[in-house]
Amino acid sequence: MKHDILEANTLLQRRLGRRTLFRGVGMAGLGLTGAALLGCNGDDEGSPLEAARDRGYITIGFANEAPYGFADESGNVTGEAPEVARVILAELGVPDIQGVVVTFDSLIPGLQARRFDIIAAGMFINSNRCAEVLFSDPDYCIPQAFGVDAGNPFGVMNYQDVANSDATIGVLSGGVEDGYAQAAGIPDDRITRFSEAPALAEGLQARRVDVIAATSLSIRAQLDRLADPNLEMTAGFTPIVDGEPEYGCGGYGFRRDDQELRDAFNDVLVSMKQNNEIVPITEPFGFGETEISAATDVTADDLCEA
Amino acid sequence: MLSDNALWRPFLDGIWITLQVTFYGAALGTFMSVLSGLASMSSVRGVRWVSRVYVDFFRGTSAIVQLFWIFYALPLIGPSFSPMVAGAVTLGLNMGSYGSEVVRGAVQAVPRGQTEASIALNLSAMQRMQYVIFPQAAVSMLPPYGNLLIELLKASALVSLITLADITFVAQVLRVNGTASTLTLFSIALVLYFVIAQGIALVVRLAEARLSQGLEVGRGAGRRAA
Repeated sequence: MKHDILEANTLLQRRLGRRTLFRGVGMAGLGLTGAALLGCNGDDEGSPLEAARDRGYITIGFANEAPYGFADESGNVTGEAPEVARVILAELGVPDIQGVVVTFDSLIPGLQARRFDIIAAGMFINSNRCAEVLFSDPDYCIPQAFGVDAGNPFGVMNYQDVANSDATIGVLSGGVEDGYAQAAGIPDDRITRFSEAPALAEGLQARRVDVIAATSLSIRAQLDRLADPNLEMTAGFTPIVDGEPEYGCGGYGFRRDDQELRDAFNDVLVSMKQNNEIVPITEPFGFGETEISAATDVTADDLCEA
Repeated sequence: MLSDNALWRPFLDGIWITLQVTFYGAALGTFMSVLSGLASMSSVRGVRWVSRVYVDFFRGTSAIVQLFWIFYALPLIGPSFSPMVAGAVTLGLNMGSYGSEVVRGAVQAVPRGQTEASIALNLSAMQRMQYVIFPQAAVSMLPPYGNLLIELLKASALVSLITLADITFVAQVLRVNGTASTLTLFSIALVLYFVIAQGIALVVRLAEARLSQGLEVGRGAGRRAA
C-alpha cells in the first residue's frame, strides 16, 4: 500500500498537471528575480558628453508634440527642437540622437531621473523651470494663440478676455498656459488640463472646453491635423502677467549638474543663431524668420529672471 | 489604408511589447499571489504581517502612481530600472496583491478532511501543500486568476506613460504624426486588446479543463484523470 502511493507520486510528479504547479510557480519566481536584477541599469558616471561621444549617441526627451518634437512615421524623433539639437550635437562629436517620449509634465522628472540627457521639446524657459533644470539660450520665441469655434463666439483674443467671459479653457497639464490662465484670474473650475496636445485639440472639437490655449504653432498644427471647418485659430498675442509681457521662448533643458554639457551645447547654438543657420532647419516645421529672429537677443538668464 | 505598412508595422511592434509586459507581469504576479497567499495563512505572526502589509499597500495605492514612483522617483534615491522591468514589476506586484486573496480563499476552501487525511499519511506540511491541498485549490483559483490576467493585460496600457512602445503608445504616436485618424487608431487598439484578452481567456479555460480532470469541481469534472 505504502509502495503504491510512492509510485503514484513519482509518476505524477513528472507530468504537467496540477501537482507540478506548485513547484513551477516557485521556479518562475526565482527566474524573475534574476531577470529583474539584470534589468537594473548601471549608473552612468562622469561627463555625459564624453559618454555620448563614446557611445555615438545621446538620448533626448520629447513630448510627442508636433511641431516641437514628435515621432515620424518610421518612429524616428523629429521636429524643431530635435532637428536643431541633432545639428548641434553632430558639431560636438555626437553623430546620433535617440528620442525618449514622455508626457509633457514628465519631461523634467524624466531628465532628473536620468531617463534621458537633454529635454529637446521646445520647452519654454521660465523662472520656475530654471530652478529645476539648466536651460540653453532660446532658439525661438513665439506668441500664444487660442483655438476656438469658427467665428470665435466668445470673442476672446487674450487670457483677460477669457477671464471676463464665462468660456471654459483647455491647457496642457504642466504647460506654461496654465499659469497664464490663472494669473489672468480665470477660476480653476473653468480650466481643464489635458495630458497632450492632440487631446487638447480633440477636447475643443468634442466641446469639452470652449477655448484651448497653446503656442500659435501648436494650435495651428493641431487644427491643421483635425482639418475641421468648425474650428479656427485666433491671432497671436503676448500674454501679460502682473503688467509685464511674458515672452514665450523655448530652449533645451539639462540637468543642473551637467553644466559642462549645457555650456558646450549653448556655445554652438549661439554661433548658429548669429550665423542665421537655424531658420533653414526649422522652416519645415513652421518656424520662420519671425519666431527665430525674435530669440536672437534673448538669453536663458533674461528668461529665468523674468 | 488597411494595407498600409506605416500603420501595421508599429502596431505589430506594439503588440509584442504589450505581450512581453503582460507575460512578465503575469509571471511575477502569479509568484507573488502564491507566496503572499500562503504567507497570509502562516502560523508565524510576522510572516502573516508582511503579507498583509504587501497586499494592503499595493491594493490600496494607485497603480499609475506606483509606476511613476518606480520610474521617476526611485532613480533619485536608488536603482534605476529599465522601462520594461519597471512596468512588469509594478503590474506584477499589483496583480499579486489581488491574487493573494484568491489563493488564500481557494486554499481555505479545500475540505479540512484532506488536511487530516494527509497528516494521517505522515506527509510533512510542505508535502501536504505541494501534493494534496494546492493541486485541489489551484482548480478553483483558475477562474478568478483568469480575471486577474485580463485585468493585467488592460492595465499594461499604463506602461505607455513610461516610454514603452506598447499598443496604446503606438496609437498615440501615430495620432500625432497623422498616420491615421484618431477613430481608426483607437478602434484598432480596442480590437487588439480584445483579441489578446480572448486568447488569455481561452488558455485559462483549457488549463482549467486539464487541471480539473478527475476532480468533482471545475470544467474537467467527471472526466477521468488521463
